[in-house]
Formats: sequence, structure tokens, C-alpha cells
Amino acid sequence: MKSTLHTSRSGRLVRNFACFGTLLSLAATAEAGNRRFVYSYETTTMAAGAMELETSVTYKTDKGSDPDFQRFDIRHEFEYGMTDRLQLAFYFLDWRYEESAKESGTTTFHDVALEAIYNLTNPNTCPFGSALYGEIKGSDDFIELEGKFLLQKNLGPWMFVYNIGGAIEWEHNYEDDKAELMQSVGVAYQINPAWSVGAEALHEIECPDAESLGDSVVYLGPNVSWRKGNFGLSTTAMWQLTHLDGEPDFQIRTLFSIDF
Amino acid sequence: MKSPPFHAIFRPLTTGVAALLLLPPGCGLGYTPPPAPTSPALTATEQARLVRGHAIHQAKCATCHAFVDPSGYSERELRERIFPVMARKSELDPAARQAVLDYLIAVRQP
Repeated sequence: MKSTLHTSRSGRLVRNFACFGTLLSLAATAEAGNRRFVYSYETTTMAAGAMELETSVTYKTDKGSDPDFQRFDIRHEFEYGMTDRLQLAFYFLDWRYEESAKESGTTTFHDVALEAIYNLTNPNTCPFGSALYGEIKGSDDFIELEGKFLLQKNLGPWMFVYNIGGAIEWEHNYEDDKAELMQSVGVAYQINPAWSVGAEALHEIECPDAESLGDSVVYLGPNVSWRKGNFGLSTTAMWQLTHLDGEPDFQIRTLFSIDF
Repeated sequence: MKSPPFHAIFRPLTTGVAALLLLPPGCGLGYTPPPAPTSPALTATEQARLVRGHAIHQAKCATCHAFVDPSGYSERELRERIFPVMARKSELDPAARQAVLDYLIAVRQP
């Protein structure tokens, strides 16, 4: 069923703020996990032998070209510290729910994925942290390869991260290819060992035929993270600064994690 | 609204990141863990354990959180409430646990 909620811009903004507020309230009552950022990766990896289950929920809405658009992307992941420098993750179920002007609500399986992060330098013992990130994801009609270079700087209670990379995808039975370049930056201030607050920005640019550059889209928004014991929760709400009609004006991603 | 060209965002952002990376570690912000204290009262084994504790503390603890001054906690809180949870999350073996705990207690200002 198509969304019948407010379609005015101010109404959507109120709804987005309400959604973010609700997640902040949840963060205050739940227990929390490991990553501070949800769109950017830190360069540190899990300890050898450590395991974690993580679920990420991304809600995107309000495309200029389709006010009815809203989508939930849900990814379930198992992470394992192979060594103190190498962390592997298996995304065993990625699925999405989408509503748009063309389609009523549909739930679809999207892909499974494998991810590896290799820490090169530790931000606590070196001037800055660095790591390599690789991911391969696919289903029965597409495959995507993604690579990133991760940087991190710790200055007392402040943490800065920067990720740069790209992805290339072969879809429609692997016949059409497209690529995307991205960079993201995150800053977080640790209030105490459990809580940190900050902001994230994301810059993506599509390369429709994997050769030429398309339009840039830039998002920016606040971030909060909380952890306690085995549990973790981090969330970032981001608004589009570039007003590209084909991209959602608002998105929010929340990570829930439990380590054991 | 026309989207900005890639380089219009890429250049200032990467310049800022490069400048940030060149700042000295810690930069005088927050708590910086001191090196392992030395004392004639310590045996060579105890001294070596403190040095190892400091190294593990540097490499492991700030993976999850900024360094925290242990002086803010009683020795009992460190031993019984805080450290067991942190050591388990860091997957420290018993010898490493003891080394880090000894180091934290040694640098703690009562």
C-alpha cells in the first residue's frame, strides 16, 4: 500500500525529526556496541577470536522525483576477529522493504555479502590509523565489489575518521555495469566510555556506465553512539545537502550489535 | 539545484584530512597514559610486566574508547567491576590481563 502520510516538505521534515527522536529515546533505554559511526568505518578491528552479531537498519525517504518513496534496508551480519589485524564479516541476510509511486510495499531479499577489514596502523600507537576494506556482495542477478581505504585520527576524546573508495556492480544477469565513488567523514566526541556524539557526512558520485562521472550527492547529519556490556547501538540521521531529485532527501541508519 | 562537481568537495575535504593527520598524537587533549613507572622496590619480572601492561593498554584499550584516567576509580572498582568486562571484550589472555591491571593500578593516583 502506498504511503498516505504527509507529503508536504514541512510535514516530512517533522516526521523525520520524530523518527530520529524516537531512535534517540531507544538509545537511551537500550544497551549498546562497538562502532561509533554507521556510514564510516574505523580503522581498528576486533580482537582475535572476538565475535559479534550486528544488524543495521537504514531508512530512506523523500525523493524529489517521488515523494511517496520510502525504503528500509536491513542487513544482518556476523563478525569475527581472525587476528588482531584482520576482521571478517558475513552478511547472511540483506533484505529491503520499499514503497514508491510505482510500487506498493514490497519486501525482497537483496543479497549476501562477505567483508574483510585489514588494519595497517593502529591509531593509538601510530600518528594515525589506517586500514583496507573490501566487500563482495551478490545475489542471483548481480554482483558488486567494493573497496575502501580507511583513515582515523584520535585526539584525546575526539575521534576523526575518513573513508574513501568505490564500488563496481554488474547487474541484470551481470550484463550492465555501473560504478560509484564515495568518501565519508565522521567526527565523534566521547562524553564517557559509554556515550559519544558527533556527526557524519557522506559524498557519493555515480558513474552510470562505469566510465564517466555523474551527479554528486552529499549528506550530513548528527551521530550518537552508546555501548554497555555486550551491547551496542549507534545511529546517524542525514539530510541531503545537494537536492538531487533522484536521491532520498533523508536517511537514517541504526546499528544494533551484541558481542559474545 | 545543480550538484557540485566531484573535485569541489574532494579537494577541500582531503586537504582537511591531511592536515588533521599531521597533528601530533593526542595533541594535548584528554588523558595520555604515562609510561610504566619504575621503582627499585620492583623485581625485574614485575617491572617487565608493567612495561608490557603499558604496551597492551596503548594498543588495545583505545580501540573501543579514548584513554580514561584510572585515578577516577578505586582499585576495587578497577579490579572487580571495570577491568573484567574490558579484558573480556579485548580477548586478553590471563597473563596480559594481569599485566594491564598491574599497570593501571601502578599509574593510578590514589
